[in-house]
Amino acid sequence: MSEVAVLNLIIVSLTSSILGVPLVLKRLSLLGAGLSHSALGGVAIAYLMGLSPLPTTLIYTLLMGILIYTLSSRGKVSGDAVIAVLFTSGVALGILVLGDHSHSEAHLSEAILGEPFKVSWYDLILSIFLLLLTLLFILRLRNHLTLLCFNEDLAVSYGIRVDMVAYSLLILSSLSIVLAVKVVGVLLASALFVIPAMTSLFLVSGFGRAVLLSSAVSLICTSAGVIITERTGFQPGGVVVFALLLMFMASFLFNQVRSRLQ
Amino acid sequence: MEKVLRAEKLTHTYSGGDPVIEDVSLSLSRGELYGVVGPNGSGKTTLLKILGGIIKPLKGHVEIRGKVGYVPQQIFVEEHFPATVKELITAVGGRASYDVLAQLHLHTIWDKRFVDLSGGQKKIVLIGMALSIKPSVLLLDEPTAELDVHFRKHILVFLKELSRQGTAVLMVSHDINFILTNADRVMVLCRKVEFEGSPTKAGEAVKRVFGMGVTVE
Repeated sequence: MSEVAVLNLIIVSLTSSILGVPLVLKRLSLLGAGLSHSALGGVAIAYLMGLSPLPTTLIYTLLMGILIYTLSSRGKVSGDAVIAVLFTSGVALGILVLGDHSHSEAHLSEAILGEPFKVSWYDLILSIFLLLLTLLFILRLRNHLTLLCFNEDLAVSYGIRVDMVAYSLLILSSLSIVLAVKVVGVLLASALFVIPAMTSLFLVSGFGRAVLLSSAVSLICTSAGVIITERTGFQPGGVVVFALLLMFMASFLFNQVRSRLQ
Repeated sequence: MEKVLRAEKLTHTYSGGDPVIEDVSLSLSRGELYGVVGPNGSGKTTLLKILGGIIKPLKGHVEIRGKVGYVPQQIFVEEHFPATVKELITAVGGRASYDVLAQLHLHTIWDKRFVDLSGGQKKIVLIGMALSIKPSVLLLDEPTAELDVHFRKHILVFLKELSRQGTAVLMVSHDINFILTNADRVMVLCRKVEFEGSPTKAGEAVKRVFGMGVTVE
């Protein structure tokens, strides 16, 4: 892997792991899977209209994210149902457009498995920018985010603009998911959000500590994944997610043993 | 007595259905302990949420002098929700929250996760969060629900002390006896206001609304 690709993978994983904590706590774990699959629709539209894939997919996924949250938070349709509908619509659009022509099958395969080696400076700069935005968001709105995840009614009663905080989280997550799709593919993107977050939630108390540990878990597993990839030639996405899974299982077992001993 | 909360002709419906509350008006003075009783579905929680600014009423308006602290009946959070008592209380009130520590004797659970607390401790923390903004009006939904005798007594003593210090306290509850025994003034709510006034005169309305008489202890 080139230095740019390695750096990009680490930064994208880090951003995803930070955003994963509030997403899991807000019971939006499935959002990652839903948005990553719906991103396939964005890739299909870009191919169909001859547009640049990354910006088109970014805009498409962002719109899907806003649609999911707006419909579910207004109580029009249940959250998991909206995610399921948009999830399958994105996949259907992707298969319809990309799966039917031999020359477009490469796009479908790249979208599903990711293209971690084809990373440009432009991608890296975008990833760094998103990481900085995410850090700013978490540091500035940490208290608001804690209360939003705790109880929305309570947050409203304390004058917190919950829609503003929730949409900010959603926009950052949608953008981050598209970058994660590019690196590890549609199938594995949500793992970068959910697994490090859950791993940290088993181990620590405190919202801030959970975010820090989630980032650390992600950093360790991604670095380990890169080293293993270099030595074995496996796909980095699969290796990183496998490393995350091992950490998750270890923290789950540790949590079980600790609970029994207490 | 200085009025700290005034609500005029509040009406609200959900999804355009029948009104959950209709033409409900009330006012609260500084230091008043006010109780709202009513059967299930009588609109108690909706009224509380409107007063707490969580729901915008379809009709009517609410005026409040100062801040409102809202204490929900229960909070359901994710099993591994990591926030500690300290994080939650300071997230609401910042450094000023440290005063609440002494008031509510929260020192021993300060660093514990909210999810690991007992029902009574959770209720105290929710009250602590509301108090950390130094409210002029404290709204409590079912303050004694699921509490043992010890915590009931503790919360009651605390609420009375709070009202003595000038905070207006509004409680809604199924617990007719608790409200009629401890409130300065009560409202019997069943979508509309069935009665408002002294607890000693609420018996007739309570019987009409709940279908049973209540002996105030």
